[in-house]
Amino acid sequence: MISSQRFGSNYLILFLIIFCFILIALDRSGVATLLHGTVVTLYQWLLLLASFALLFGIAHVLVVHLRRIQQGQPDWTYSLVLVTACLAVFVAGLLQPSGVTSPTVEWIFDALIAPGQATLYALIFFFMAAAAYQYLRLSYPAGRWMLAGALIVLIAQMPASYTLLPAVYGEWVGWLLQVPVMAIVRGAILGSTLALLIVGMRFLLGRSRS
Amino acid sequence: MDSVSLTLLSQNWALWIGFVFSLMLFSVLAGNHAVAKVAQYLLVGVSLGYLGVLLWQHVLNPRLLLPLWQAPLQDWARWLALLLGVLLWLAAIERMWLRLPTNQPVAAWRRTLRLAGMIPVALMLGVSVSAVLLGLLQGSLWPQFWYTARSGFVWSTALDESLISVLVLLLTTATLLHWTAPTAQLAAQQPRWVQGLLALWSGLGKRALWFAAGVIFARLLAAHLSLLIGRLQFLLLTFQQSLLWQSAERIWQLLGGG
Amino acid sequence: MNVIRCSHCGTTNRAGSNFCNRCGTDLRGDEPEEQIAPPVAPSADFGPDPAAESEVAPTADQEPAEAAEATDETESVYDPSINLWNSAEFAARGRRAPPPPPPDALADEWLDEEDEPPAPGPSAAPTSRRLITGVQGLLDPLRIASELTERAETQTMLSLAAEPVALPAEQLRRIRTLLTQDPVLLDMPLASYGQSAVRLHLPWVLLLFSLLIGIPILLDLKTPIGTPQQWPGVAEAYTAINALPADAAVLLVWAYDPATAAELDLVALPLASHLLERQTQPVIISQLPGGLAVAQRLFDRAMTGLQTTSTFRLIPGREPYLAAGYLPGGAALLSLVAQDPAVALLRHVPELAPADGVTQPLSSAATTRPALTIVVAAQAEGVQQWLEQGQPVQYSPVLAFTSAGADPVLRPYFASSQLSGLVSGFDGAIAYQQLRSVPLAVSETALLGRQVVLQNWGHFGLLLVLVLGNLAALGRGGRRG
Repeated sequence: MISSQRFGSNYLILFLIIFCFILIALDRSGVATLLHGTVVTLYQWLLLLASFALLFGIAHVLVVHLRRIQQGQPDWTYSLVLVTACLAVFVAGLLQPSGVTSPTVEWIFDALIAPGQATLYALIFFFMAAAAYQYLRLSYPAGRWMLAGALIVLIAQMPASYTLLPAVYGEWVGWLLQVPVMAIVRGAILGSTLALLIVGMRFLLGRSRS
Repeated sequence: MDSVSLTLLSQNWALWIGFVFSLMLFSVLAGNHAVAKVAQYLLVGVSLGYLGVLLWQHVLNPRLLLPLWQAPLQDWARWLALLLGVLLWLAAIERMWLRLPTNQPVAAWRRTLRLAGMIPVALMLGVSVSAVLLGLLQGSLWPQFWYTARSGFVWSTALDESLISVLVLLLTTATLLHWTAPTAQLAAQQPRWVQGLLALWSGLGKRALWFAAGVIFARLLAAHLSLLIGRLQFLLLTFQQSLLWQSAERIWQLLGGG
Repeated sequence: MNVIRCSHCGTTNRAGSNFCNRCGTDLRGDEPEEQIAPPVAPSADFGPDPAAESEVAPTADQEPAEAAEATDETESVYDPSINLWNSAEFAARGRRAPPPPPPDALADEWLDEEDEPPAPGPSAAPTSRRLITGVQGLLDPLRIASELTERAETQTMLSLAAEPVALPAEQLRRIRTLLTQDPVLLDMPLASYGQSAVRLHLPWVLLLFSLLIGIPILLDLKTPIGTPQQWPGVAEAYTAINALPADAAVLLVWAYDPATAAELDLVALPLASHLLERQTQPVIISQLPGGLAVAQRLFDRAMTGLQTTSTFRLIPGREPYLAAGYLPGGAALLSLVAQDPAVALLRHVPELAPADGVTQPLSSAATTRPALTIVVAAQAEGVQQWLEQGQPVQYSPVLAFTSAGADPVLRPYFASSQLSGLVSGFDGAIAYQQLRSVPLAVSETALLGRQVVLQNWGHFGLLLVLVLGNLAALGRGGRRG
């Protein structure tokens, strides 16, 4: 049986959420300008609480990996690398008054973070090309239409096509992007926005019954 | 060594460390072996530390702690924010780090703390969800709906403009119909001609979506090709600065390669 | 016939049913109307325990008569091979179930199951629970886990020697992992393609594109063939920026980081150069951790390039740009930036003292509505978030400088005039730069030129891949035919 405490706490949470919704709706619509200060305070709280949550998330990751090291679980050496790197950067940044703009942290950004993130994302292209080989085929009904769309745009965005094909082709593809494709994507945006709104309103009202 | 030379040296070191680090991450294509794992864990660790410093420097210190230190009695809202943040931490610590053995009852202080910890979570959720929903309405749904309706009823004197506006309306509604409505189910009780019309309309939307997906995929390929080009340029151009490459180039020139 | 009436929709169901046939409400714990079904000995683990059959009631206020009847008559026999949800543990028992919660009661979706321990002592009611009234079935594993936990508390004589069934234990482990524990960041290796058919083609794709792109780089092929297409929106973006007066405040929402900098730097560099050339006051905010650092480096590059190629000179005493801050917390904070920039754009550099020739300190310019807002984003969502959160309250014109992949998704916003200009991808970057009269630095121009060469080779490779894929499918179809 649901305890009265839990019953009350559920309503408290729902009340807070709906309260925020009403305040922000009134402020954004311009109906109640007196509420603007309160809404700004809410946004500031969101900013600060999000930072608290992110910091806790970082701490939690460290605790998990420290436990792994302490218990000698598999891959504990990698966890040691992670924890050491995290603490080294954190301490280096805190000790210097300019923080992330200090020479040490900027050096770490240029040497590790930037090349690391760039490399991970660069790998995605190979998988996309392999997927194009596998799935953009005339033999699949959906593949036919996707292949048509992809081929038309691939040829147009290839710089050499400017010299190999008449200029009207590029203009025609520009029109294609601006009119039919735009209309199709607009339909998708309308549909997904409606769905999101419905899900969001059900969440706000605490009604997640299927 | 003067500061300019030190800067150049450190930039050089950063370049070479970035080069080696990129190769370590690229090696993940050959499997998730030790070298790739070390690189991944190192990247995650460094990124987390960087994020921590950023949060302190850009948010918590200037927006919360420093103002409270300088004028502790002037801003009750900041004190409340600090309290909520600490509550969030305490509740999260209790929930995630101070786990109970399974056969022990939950103490009253734990239950109170969990309840209190729900308040900041509810505030965050409330503000985020509210802003997102209202933004969807104001920024996407209403403007797009309005412009669809406007474009569909442009009966200008030029035939091509009228045809284009009808095409836009047709494609938008076809896609929306296919995306949102189960037409077969909806039309089950309708006359045959209505079922046929809806099936045609929804089918147009389906094929249109596939076509648009192909267009988006082509643009995504161009985007990721740019990313790959950037990375390969960095790797190869850095390698060209290496002693190994320069020696190989010299040998090639000596052999008359030009 | 023994029936159980569903407390949620009122449908009668066969006694012993676990879920309502109509609405899916959990019936385990409900009492059948016409006959009290004999209880089955519960156990904390998943196996039957004959020793526990004599101890059916977890608390002393259970009706002793019911408990005495319960021992031998079980409705179903527990079979470890059966899914836990059909286990005999959850068949109707002799315990009197408490009245169900009111239908509009909020489900325990907020609090963990573990919050509610069974009350100790003889006066405590049994805890046959229907905790989840909303999400039918979805959170049943949680309820199962919590019931098992409670039963372990009350069954002091139970043996825990029986091995848990693999499926439920695995299910429980996954649920616990999802909920609270061990958010291992690198659980899945990056190269997890091993199970898919894509794996067969990946080495060849790797080799093909590494050669197609690597060889021109090593041979230093610089002469581009052709010119990238100028898509709609580029000229409008150029006109909007070119029309800005000097000292105009421009808000830059920087929504890309080093991960996508290889492409977005190409797009943003002509933009940064143009803004500096026009002597505007760019104010940069970012919601990505690496965004500000990337923006600062890009603007420094643009400044260096301008100083070498034109008569551009920095105005003394004035910052050429302001990296205003990192704002975590999601899209909602963009509303704060739009409505109250003075609060959002907190300075963390010393205030500029007004000097001769400086009209206003930068911070004051940032507190008024910007003349233009430019979103530089790797994904369409970055631009959409500003259009949803910022533009409806700020009303300043918005330009988007984005990745090529975001272009089609943003076309509806450009067509509806929510966006005043749209520049995307390497082709947009080159087309934008071609409209400017001030060139970029020699090295930057060479970079753009090389991009054209390599894009040609890369696209050639992609077209080859598509043709080969379709030929392979044709050949396979022919062989089968």
